[in-house]
Amino acid sequence: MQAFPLIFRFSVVVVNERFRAHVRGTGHALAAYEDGQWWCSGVEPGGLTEPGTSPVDAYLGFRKTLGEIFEQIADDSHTVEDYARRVGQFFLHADSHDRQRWQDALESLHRRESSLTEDVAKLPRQAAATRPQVEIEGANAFSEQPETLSLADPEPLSKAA
Amino acid sequence: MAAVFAMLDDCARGHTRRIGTHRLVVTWRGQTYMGLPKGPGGGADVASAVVAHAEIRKAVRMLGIDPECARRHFGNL
Repeated sequence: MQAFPLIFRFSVVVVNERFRAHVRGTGHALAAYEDGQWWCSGVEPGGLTEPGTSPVDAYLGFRKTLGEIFEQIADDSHTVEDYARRVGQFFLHADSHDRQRWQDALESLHRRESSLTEDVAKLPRQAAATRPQVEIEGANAFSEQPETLSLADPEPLSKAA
Repeated sequence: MAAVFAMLDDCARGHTRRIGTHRLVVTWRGQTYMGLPKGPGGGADVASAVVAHAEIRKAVRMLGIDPECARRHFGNL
């Protein structure tokens, strides 16, 4: 089975009526040809897999679904702290089965047993030791700074004058 | 997807599933899985969504479902 170990970096901004958050991180995924098509399968985070016509095409579907999952988690979170906890929980839930396949694919690359597909051959290289990680910055912006409408008060102006 | 739901009902008893704004959300024994599609229109359409074996295998692993039980529903899983 043809398979490639991938490392991806991402950055997502999520905004809803309760908070805004910036999620960024690095993950591991495995692009593998199985059941007659390419699949991009999450290693860490492990909770998703998407098909495509090529490894990179499968990754694009994977990345779209990853964004939808971050949006879904935001919809289910009450505060940015709750969101950060849930995203961390999702992201760190690794797929140990695919972790082994990722390592096997890496070994295969190292031994030059894999012939790269055209799209994979064009990818930049990233050290295999790069560890998955995720960080979330944000604020419960809309509760801290509610929208208001006010009438301009001339008093401070006259005082200033 | 209807067959996946039947498998979940049998092999992940007590699980909950709901159609979220963006994803189908399945929770069982403290694990939440959002990797299954909710179908093109969501709602009742979710049962008609086509799911590949690779997607089912992933859900089974990540939810910690007994693979033997899952294989009783999908023979060549």
